[in-house]
Parts: sequence; C-alpha cells; structure tokens
Amino acid sequence: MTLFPTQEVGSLRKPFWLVEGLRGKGISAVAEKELAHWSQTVPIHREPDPRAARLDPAGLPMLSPADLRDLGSLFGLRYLEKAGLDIVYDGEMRRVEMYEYPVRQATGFEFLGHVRSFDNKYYLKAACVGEVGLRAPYHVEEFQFIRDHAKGIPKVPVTGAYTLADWSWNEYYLNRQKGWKGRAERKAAQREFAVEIARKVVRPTLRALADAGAKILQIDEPAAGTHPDEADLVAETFNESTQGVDAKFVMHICFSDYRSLFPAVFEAKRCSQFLLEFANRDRGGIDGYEELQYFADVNDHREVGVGVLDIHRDEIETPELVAQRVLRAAKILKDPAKVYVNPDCGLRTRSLDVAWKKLTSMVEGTRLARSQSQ
Amino acid sequence: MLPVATGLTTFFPRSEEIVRASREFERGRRTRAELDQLTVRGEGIVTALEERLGLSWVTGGHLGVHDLFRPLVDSTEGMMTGPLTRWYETNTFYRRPVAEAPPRLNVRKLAYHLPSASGKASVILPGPWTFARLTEDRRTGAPHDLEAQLVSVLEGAIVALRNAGFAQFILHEPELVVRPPAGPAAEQLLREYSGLRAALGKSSGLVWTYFGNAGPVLPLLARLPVDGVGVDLSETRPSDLRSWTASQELGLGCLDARTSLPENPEDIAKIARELLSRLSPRGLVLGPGVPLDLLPETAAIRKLEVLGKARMLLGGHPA
Repeated sequence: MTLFPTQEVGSLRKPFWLVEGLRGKGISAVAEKELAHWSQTVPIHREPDPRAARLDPAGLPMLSPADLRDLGSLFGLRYLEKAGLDIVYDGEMRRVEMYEYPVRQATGFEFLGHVRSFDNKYYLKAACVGEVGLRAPYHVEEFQFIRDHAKGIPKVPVTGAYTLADWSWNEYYLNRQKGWKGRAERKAAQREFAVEIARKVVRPTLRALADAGAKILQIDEPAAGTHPDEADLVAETFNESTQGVDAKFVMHICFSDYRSLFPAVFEAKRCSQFLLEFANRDRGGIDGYEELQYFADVNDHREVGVGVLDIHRDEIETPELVAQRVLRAAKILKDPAKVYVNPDCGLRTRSLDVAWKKLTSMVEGTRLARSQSQ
Repeated sequence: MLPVATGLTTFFPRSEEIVRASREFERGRRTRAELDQLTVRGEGIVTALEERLGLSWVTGGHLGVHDLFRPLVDSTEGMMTGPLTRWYETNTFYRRPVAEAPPRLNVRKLAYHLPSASGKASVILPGPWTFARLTEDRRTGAPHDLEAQLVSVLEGAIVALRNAGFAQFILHEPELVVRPPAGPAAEQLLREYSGLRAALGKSSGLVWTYFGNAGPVLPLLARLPVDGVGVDLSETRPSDLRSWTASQELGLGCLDARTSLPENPEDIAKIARELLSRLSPRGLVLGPGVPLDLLPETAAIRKLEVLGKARMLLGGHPA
C-alpha cells in the first residue's frame, strides 16, 4: 500500500436521475442536465454492462428499480475511483440511511414512530420487543456487486451494534430487570441488548461479508460518544461483532468528544484503524488534530484514518491545506505509515460537484504530502 | 391527605400528522400558515388529552417549539441560534443560544400558545442556571453579567406570559443536577431565583431537574424560592433523597422517556409511599422525568396514562 492511502468513509448524495428514476415519475430537466454533466467525468454509459448504455433520458424509463440501483452503485464506485481514492465503496447508493435498514433485517424489533432529531428533522425509531435475531445477513449482495466491479480496494461500511442499540428503545431486555427501572437497571439492560445485537445481528453479517470476499470492514459508530460512561461497551460490542471474522476492521467515529472514549475504546482489540473526524474542529485558531496526541502518548500501534475534509461546509480545502493536515497528523503520530487520509464522514450533505472538488483536492493534497514526506 | 398533582412537566411529541406536515413544509410542499394551523390543532388535541386524563394543569404540549430555548432566543434582541448541539446524552439536538449583544426581550415576539383560559395553563421555560450555562457568550465590550441579563429576559417573559393567562411556570433545570453551581455561583443563583419569584407573583413556579442525580444538590434545591422541585427518578434513587428537608412540593419525574417501556404504576406508588413515610413535602407532583418528546406520540400517551393510575393508587384524585 502506498504512503498515506486515501479512502472513502460513507455516503454520497444520490444523483437526481437515480432518485427520480426510482420514484418512477419521469426525469426532470435538472436530472437530465446533471446526468449529461457527470457522463463527461464519470462515463459509466461506456461500461460493458448493457444496461449502462440506457443511462440517458430516453433509456432511463425502461430501467427497472434493480437496474437503477445497480447503475447507481456503479456510478458511486466509479466516481470515487475517478476522484483517485485508493480505498472505495459505492457512496452507499443503495442505502437510504444507516439505522432503519439493518433494524428491518433483524427480528425482535418494532418501529414505534418518528422522533425528532432537531427542528423539523425526525427519524423512525424502533423498540426491541423480543429477543434479538437476524432474518438474513445484509449488505452481501450490495458488496458482491462492488467486488465484481471495483478497480480500487473495496471497504464495506456496516452500522455498529452499539449505535443500533443506542438508537433503539430497549423494552425486552429492560423488562427482564425486576422492579423500578433506574439508571443501574437501564445500563445493565442496555449492555445485554447491545451485546446481543453484536452477536446475533452484526457478527453474522460481517462473517457473510468476509465469506463473500470483503477484506476491509468499517464499523460505523456515530453514537459512540453519546454516553461517556459506555465507552467500554463500544469496545465490547466491537469485539463481540468481529469475533471469529477474518478481515481488517476499521472503527469510524465522528462528531464526538474523543477524550470521553479514551482509553476504553482502545480495548477494541481487533480494530486496526480508528477513522475519525478532525477537519470540522480545525478552524478559528484551534488545532483540530491535537487529540491525535493521545495515540502517540499511549503508543498505540493502530492506523488512524485522519479526516481532512469538513463535510458540513462547501468551502473546498486546498491541496496545500490537505497536505499540511496529513503531515501534521504524521508528525503527531510519529509514524507516517499509520496515517490514512479521508473526509471527516460521508459527503452526503454536499452536492456531487462540491464533494468531487473536495475529494480531488484531497487526493492532490495527499500526493503533495507524500512528496514532502520523502 | 397530601395533595397529589399530576401533569405534563415536559414537552410532548408531535403527532405523525404534524411530523409529515413539517417535513412537507421543509420541502416547500406546505406553507408556514398550514403548518401553524395543524400545530395549533395538535396542541388542542394534547390539551384535550391532558383534561381527559385528569391532569392538574394543561400545556398543549408546546408542539410548535423546536427546543427549550428557541422561543426566548427568537424573541430576544442580541440573541441568535447557534450550532446544533447534542441535548445531553440523547440522540436529539438543540440550537445553542448565542448572545451577541446584551439580550433584550421583545415580548411581542414571544410565541407560546395559551392552551386554555381555564386558569390551569402551564408553560415550560428554561431555568436561569441552564439558560446561562448553555448560552454561548459572544458579546464584545459587554459587562460580564450575562447570567443576570438572561434572568431579566426570563423575568420579562414570565410577567408577559402571566398577563397572557398562564398560571404555572415550569422551569427546566437539567444543568442544575448535571453541572451544579457551587459557592458564590450558588448564592448568585439563589438571588436570581428571588427575582424570578417576584416576577411569578401569585403564579406557581416549579423547578424541574433531569438527566442527573438531584441527591448532591438537595441543600441548594431546598433553598430555591419556588413552589416545587422535581427530580428525575431514573437518575435519582429514593435513597438519594434521604436529606430532603424542604417544605416545597416534591416533584417525582417518574416517566422515563429514555425507554418506550411504560412504567408500572404500582412501582411509582411504592416509591412515592416510601418517600412520604420519611419526608414532609407540601405536596407531591408526578410527571415525566426527561422530556417526553424523546418518544413518538403513541408511546408518550401510553406513559402519560400511567400517571393517573399511580395517583389513584396513592389515594389521590384529579386536582
């Protein structure tokens, strides 16, 4: 592997032709224009797959939802490869979100309704009302398609057990606690619940993905920083999820107070890389990368996926800024070989144009960092 | 017999209909007026629910309010909404209040709907400690008394809302038990509460704490010049209330919105009886501990129904 490998993290915004095509109500002029624009840069209509030749305003209505999803996946994959990333996926083009889908593949859950995240934003939240189980491992067909088409190295993102548990209500396991359900009972039941998800939902899925040929599996734990006193549970569920599965494991955490997770999260023994957001906090005179110092202080052997792109701002990081961030991380970690380069998180909230400019700048900045690191 | 009041002490979740409408509003498929109309109708439905369950006061659920601080921030010159910030240990976020200049309330912009003209209308506001602690101070060249200025905003709001017909004020103070004041800060807070007491006049004031154990701050809570103090029973064990000496009403936050599992009314009654056997509050208030809007509407209703059953077990009757 080259020095400072570049990698994707999560989802990209879906192209309009995919969203509108799946709605089945025709393609708008905006979608047509976008399709024409991207066919220059990411020409998937020239792929050997005969369905790709129909990727134009006349052919789109003839494509089935399954065809559209395949072509969406191919577009996301080629977009990331063309941007120059070493480690890729498909921008999660088949996925709508990261919670509801895995929960629908599991048993023992019941969706109760929408809960406000903030303002007028909501998410559908489920309660665990029975023993946790799994209908069938998920993401496998999605990965197989990418495995068969990828030119870069694929890395599969999977929502972690801790997050699935934290974003659900826990009725079944809490109800097994006798008497008043105070903090101690709630915490004990949550531990049991999260570990059950790790063993019975996430582990079989990771195993199926590994059996299908996945070499790198990224476990996403955006909820990891929610409860500082549960950092050990994040590690425990990671260990339970990955037990007996042969792959390289990455843990992605973002927008959290990392100090609340250290050192407990280092107990995630099979984790080879922590992939973290930093660029978001690197502004206004604040050194956003100072928390990397902890890795050096404890002499942790693992790689760090260093976030160099702020995913919440349209402003494009220059290659020089990216290079400076990469080299700063390498200096703090005292080992350039430990540094992987990535956006802070998925670029879904940015337009495809902005995401493209950011990613290509990241790739160029990383090349610059390599040349300056020699 | 000790009076037992029951009521909605926190925000109530929006109905699925309002969720759909507010999403459509965000996508430009509904007008603000249509959404407002639905929200007002929804608050009427919550008020009717509160009345049907025999709760001691009505709130309407504050369905139009985005977070605890927003109505005050939106009606205060010198303040603006800041970045999205996690609401304690939940997967819910609020926009951090930001003070850019000395805050001055414009009461004409205060947007709380009076749920009922029955004299039982209650409104939820941030308590001064929580308001000050969670507000980001970006004032330049301003005096260093943001807390006092925010108290003035609160006092102005209380007087205006009292004049509008609200009879009870529930001041949310999670910060008081998560990061409590000590020493001079605690004394200053007590002085600020004295100011709020004057603004409350004959209206009832209830301080509601949650997300933390109230045990360590009982001496301070006992000195607050308010009618009642609520504790989050999921964080505060009954034994933590051993040193409760206050004569205020004791509020038991006995519905835990961190779980959708409805509480057992017998468990609530048992805890209340145990506490009353050794404490001497002026009265008992049963309500949700943490905000019920962490739940969807159906689960929140199931929980709220438990309150009346617990009150009946305690021998109380609808107030």
